[in-house]
Amino acid sequence: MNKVTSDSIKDKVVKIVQKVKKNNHNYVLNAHLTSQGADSLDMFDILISIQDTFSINIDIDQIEEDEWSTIEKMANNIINILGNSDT
Amino acid sequence: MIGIEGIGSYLPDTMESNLEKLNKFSINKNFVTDKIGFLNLRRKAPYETTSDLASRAFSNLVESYDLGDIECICLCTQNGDHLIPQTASIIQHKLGLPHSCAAFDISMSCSGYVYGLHIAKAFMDSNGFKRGLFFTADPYSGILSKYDKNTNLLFGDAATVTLLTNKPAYEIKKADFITCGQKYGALMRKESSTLEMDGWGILNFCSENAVSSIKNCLKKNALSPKSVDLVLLHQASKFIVDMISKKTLKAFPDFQGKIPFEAKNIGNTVSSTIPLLLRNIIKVSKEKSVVLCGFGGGLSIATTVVERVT
Repeated sequence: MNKVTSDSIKDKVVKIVQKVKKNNHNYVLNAHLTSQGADSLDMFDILISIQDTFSINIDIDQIEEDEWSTIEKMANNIINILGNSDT
Repeated sequence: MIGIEGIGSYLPDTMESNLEKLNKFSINKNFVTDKIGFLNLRRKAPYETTSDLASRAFSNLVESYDLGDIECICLCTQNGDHLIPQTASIIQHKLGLPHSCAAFDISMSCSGYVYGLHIAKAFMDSNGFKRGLFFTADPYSGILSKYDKNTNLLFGDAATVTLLTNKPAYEIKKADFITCGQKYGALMRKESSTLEMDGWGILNFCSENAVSSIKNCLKKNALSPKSVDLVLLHQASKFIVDMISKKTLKAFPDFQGKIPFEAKNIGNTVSSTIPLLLRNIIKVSKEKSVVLCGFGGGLSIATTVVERVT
């Protein structure tokens, strides 16, 4: 996955977060979204939108292990899942 | 043809305020008002049993309907008065119904109303019965941990009773069912512990499958989305109803304004949420085609259509 694609996925994730939170806030990419105003149900909303947008499946175990807590982690996970499904 | 003639209900007067739990659970007011959607939860008295709640719903039904000879009663609950025997027998006794009255429980949670309608209807049809009662009463308050935010802000207590007769106001059409037993642990009570809920698991399952169940149900009944007057979703929380509404509206724009959330001062009353909504439709607004969609524990989704005949 090249940098352009990685950046475009991050942009898409940011847009999803902004849509759920109904704002244009500049989110810190590597900071926990709950420390930036998202509550637990916002997180679910964001993750469901990510599943729909990228046609992927997010596992509860990964959520519990904080693997989907920041925009950066979300983008990296999406890239990994999409990369694996290509092969 | 067995269908729904009327619905009675019981909501305990006591309410537990979720807004008084903000500090306890480190949440803000918007989380309660905009996400959970339940400002108050109905709470039965500690001495009230499931059969008591059902009996009170029956008293409410009697105020508006002539019941005649009741030939069977069915109760949907997972919190019966005792593990053994079936609570329907206790209800039969409390209501003074004759020994000839059949009585049985079904163990289902949030999809239980749709399941129960079809089970009771089929049971009555196969035995030539003309009048039966289908109760929902599943008071979760007794099995909630007061420290668990996931469940403590959600569940309320209530009971309903649906009068099923051969002179119905609403006909019960075909249903669609989805089960994902692999995820049975997402809503679970082990032995005598408190209720445990995996919110993500349930939300994800419902979000993925509720719309397709509604789609399948419309197809089975040869109904066009335009001809549907109302869609009654299980009132799990405002967040889930909003989430499923959003997805449903994408698939069926005609459903705009037809998916209510009306449990603000009641809570998630498990199998009782749909009949609590339907009760008012039957009495007051009289829509023709109504979709009922229950979803939750199991994991399970059940969708049906009821159609006005009178």
